[in-house]
Order: sequence, then C-alpha cells, then structure tokens
Amino acid sequence: MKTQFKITLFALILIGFSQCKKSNLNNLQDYFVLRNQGADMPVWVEGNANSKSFVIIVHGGPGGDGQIYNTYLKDFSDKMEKEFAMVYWDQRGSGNSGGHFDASKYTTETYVDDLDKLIDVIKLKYGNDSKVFVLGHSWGGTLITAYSIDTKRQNKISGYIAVDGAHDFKNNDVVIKTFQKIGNAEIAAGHFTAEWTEIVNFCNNLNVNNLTDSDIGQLNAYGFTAESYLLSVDSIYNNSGKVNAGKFSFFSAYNMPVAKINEMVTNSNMFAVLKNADYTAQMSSIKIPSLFIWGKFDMVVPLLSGNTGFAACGAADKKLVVMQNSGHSPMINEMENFSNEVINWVKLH
Amino acid sequence: MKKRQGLWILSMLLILASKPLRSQIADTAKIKKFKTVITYKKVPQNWPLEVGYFTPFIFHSGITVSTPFVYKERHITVNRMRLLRWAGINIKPRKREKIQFRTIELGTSIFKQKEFMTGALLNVKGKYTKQRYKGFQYFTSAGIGYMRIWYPGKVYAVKDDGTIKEKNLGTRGYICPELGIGIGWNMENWKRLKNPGTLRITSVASYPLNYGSSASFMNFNSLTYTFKINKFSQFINNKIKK
Repeated sequence: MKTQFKITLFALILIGFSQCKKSNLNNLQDYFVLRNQGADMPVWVEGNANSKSFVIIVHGGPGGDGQIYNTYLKDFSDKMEKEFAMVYWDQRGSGNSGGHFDASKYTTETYVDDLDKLIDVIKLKYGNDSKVFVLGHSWGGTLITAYSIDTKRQNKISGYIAVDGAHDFKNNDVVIKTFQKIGNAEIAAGHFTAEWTEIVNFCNNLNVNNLTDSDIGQLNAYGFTAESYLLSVDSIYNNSGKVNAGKFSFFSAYNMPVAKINEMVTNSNMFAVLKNADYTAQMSSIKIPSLFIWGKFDMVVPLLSGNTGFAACGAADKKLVVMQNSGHSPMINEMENFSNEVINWVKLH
Repeated sequence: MKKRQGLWILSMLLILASKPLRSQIADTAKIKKFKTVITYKKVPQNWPLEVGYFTPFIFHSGITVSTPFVYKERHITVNRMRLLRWAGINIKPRKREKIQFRTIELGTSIFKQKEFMTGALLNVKGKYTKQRYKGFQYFTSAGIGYMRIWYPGKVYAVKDDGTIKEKNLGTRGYICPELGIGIGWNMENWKRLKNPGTLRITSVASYPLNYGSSASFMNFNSLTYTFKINKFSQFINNKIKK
C-alpha cells in the first residue's frame, strides 16, 4: 500500500506542472498564452530569435489553427525557423484556444485587437527592437488587412505578407469568373468533364447580384473540390516536403476534437460578419512594405482578387509573386519556392 | 406399375427425411420451460480502488484514481435445454450467470497535454455494467465533472491602455458533463493473482461548457485496474459510520 502511494505521488510529480523545454535564442522553443477579452489563445514561438525577426503566422478559417504550419508541415516550419523566429498563434475560437467569451465577440475588430495585443507582447518579451512581420493566409489575409489599414497599428509591424488572402469576401463575381474560365479550359482538355460541367453550370445559373448564403457556401466548397481536380492533372503540385500527420494528430498540442468543434462554431459565427466584408478601397492606406503571394490556380480566393488587392495597396515597396503550380495553399503546393520567396523578402526588410 | 413403385419409393424417402423433424416435434413437447433465476446479492461495503493510465484524446500522459461504489448487484442465472434441430438430440442443460452492476463512482484524474496544458478532473458518475461469460464486462456511464487547466507557460493579459499583466500558471475551470463506454475483464476467478480485480478500458466524451463561446468536446481514454484494499474499505466504512 505504501509503495502504491509512493508510485502514485512520483507519477504526479512527473506529469505535473512542467515548464517549457530548454532552449537558446538560436533555437527558441517558447510558449505562452495571450488572454484578451475572455479568450485564452496559445502562442508558440520557435526558431531563430537571434535574427530579431518574428514572423506571425495568421492562420486561415476562420477557425483554423496555427499548429498545421508548425508540427504538420514539418519541412516548411524547419526551413523558416532556421532563418527567423516563427510565431504560431491559435486565434480566438480556433485550434486549442479556450477561455470564456460571449458570441458577440466574433467580430473582425475583436480579432484585430487580439493581433494587436499579440504584437505588443512579442515586443515586450523579445525587445522593442524586434521586427514583426505578419503573414496572413486566406482569412488570415483578411485579418492582417483589417489590421494594417489602421495607420497607427501598421507602424508596429515591419511588413505585410498576404498569402491568398481574402481582403474582399464580398466579391464573389471574381470567383465565378475564375470557375468559368478555368472550368471551360479543363472541359476542353477533357479533364474531369462531368465534374467541371457541374461547377460551370452552377456558376452560369447564379445571379451575381443576389447570391444567397447557400450559394456562397457552395462556391467555397466547389473551390476546394476544383483544386483537387487540378491536383490530379498536375496543374497544382503537392510539394509540401515532409508532413508529420501522425505526430500532429496524436502526439502534439493539437487536440482534434477540440479544434474541429472550435472551427465549426467560429466559422458559423463569423460567416455573417464576413460575407459583406471588402477592404479593397481602404488598402491604399497600407504604406508598409508588402508582399502578395498567390497561387495561379487558387479557386477559393482567385488570382483576380490578388491582382485587385495588389493594385489597391498603397505601399511604395510592394511585390506580387504568382506561384505557377499552386492553389489556395502555396506552402503545401510549392513549399520550397514559397518559403524561399518569404525568406528572401523578409531578409531584405 | 412403375408409377406405383415410384410413388412408394418417394413416400418412404419422405418418411425417412422427416424423421428428425418428427423427433423434434416429439421432444419439444417434453422440454422444460426456460428457467431463469434472479437474485439480488447483498452488496458488501467493499469500496474498491481503481487506478490507471489516463489520456486526453490519444497519447498524452495522465493518471486516474477513483472508487466505484457498487450499490446494486443483480445476478441472473439461466438454465436452458437446447436441441440441435435437425438431429433431435438433447444436450446437457447449461447454467449461465449474468451479473449487472450499478455503481456510483467518484474519481480524480490528472493529465498533461503535451506542449499545451496540465489538467485536473474531479468527477462523479453513475455506471451500469453487465458481466457475462468468464468475467467479460461492458459498461456505460453518465456523470458530471469539473476540469481545471493550467497553462505551464506565462499568461499575458494586455489592457486597453497598453499595460501588460504577466502571470505564471494561468488557469481556467470548466464544468463538464460526460458520457462513457467501455469494456472490462473481471479477473476475480483468476487464482494466480494475489489480489484479483478488474481490468477496464474506458472512453469518455466530455463536454466542457462555455469553452470559448459554447460547449466543446473532449475525449478522454483510460486503462485502469480495480482492486480491493481492505484497509481502505475499513477506513471509508469507519468514516461513514461516524
């Protein structure tokens, strides 16, 4: 009996409140929680903090998670972390984030405020002289755009990197035009004829000025389906490098049931907020160095949208890179090219 | 003539083929009715202890300790005579015992979700267990718990005026209704063991309320062993008597 209690006590100490892994600034392994307006948002900071450059991954969704860019896309995160300190942040109602907050907090302004506070904490922890870059993917692109159009806020960051970022959720006609153009080309080439015909016919029958929520949802779903067809015919590549699906799913901080519920709840709450969002006109107030990276075959946030955003951006120092064999996620489709572009650009700034 | 012979042969064949069926009909008339005996065993206050490996989702480390109090135990003994249909053979009557347990369980678990948080759970649940042949069990449970989580890294709360408050070991609590299922093996008849108990594998769906903006879903799994500790039972019984 005494032995049993000793073993139990020892086990409790072992699995008890252990601190972060040991790390040095060349290979920082830090973890903290950002608490803002009722949400507890975990943040992992990993990589080369000696570079004094911090790249915040603003994940997609809404309701996605930061760990996909870290533990899952192993080669991508390793490559980036050699150069800079990467900040993997689970946004409000996403990934592992928790806390207690009211559903009324699901607004773009709240998310912008969360990002602002995160940047403040990074500068507090790692020095005010640290350079912070925001890399927004998909919905993350919307968030960093909403953040950067505020002049006071944009001065806190050194660069704006939009990766297939949806700065204009409202512009579904761009999506429809892209489906029609690429769809007809694929039908002519004899690729997945029946499937593309269904998509093109759906688009042809839509009233662009009077889209229902169901139409918008269907367009979004078709976007991912269409990319799978393009992947099958090698128009889109799958060169993500090593992925760690097993470790990501079962051995990392990522908790699948929690993350999926978060995604469902956040997505449904934010849909009403985002469906009329369009920041194109305000992008002229973005004056900081800007990098736009877009997949040529992005069927979710098409290249046409990227071109519009790039043209509207008010930065003198701006660059648009089109990944020729990528869809909505160039860090998966052409990981090497994508990461080289980001690394070289961040080093320049 | 040939037609008559054919009919005679066919009749004999039919009579021979129907013999098992006729035997069955005859024997059925003699079968005793199924005899089922139900007894309610007076449950001794034994307060067993259940300990084991506990993990959120799949592979994170944790430990669980609980005490399932059996408040009702129902034994069902069934005597049956069975027949092999086509042979009309009686086989020996077999006795089968089924046991149903109703338990209330008080438990506590501690777990560490790697690279994220440490959690502690306190829960109370009702469990319904059925035990069958050679101690095999399956069970369902429903209960409620309280989960407290601690973030091992620092928690930063930034106020609107820009001041940042830093806190070690930030924490949150959640009330969690839960439902569980599992299988087990009661090794009471295993003479080789000094203290034979029950091995159980359990999976629990827990629903932390107000996780973020609504309820969430967590999955907890455990591998536990239940054994009786006389001193522990005596201690609890003495406390209750007081």
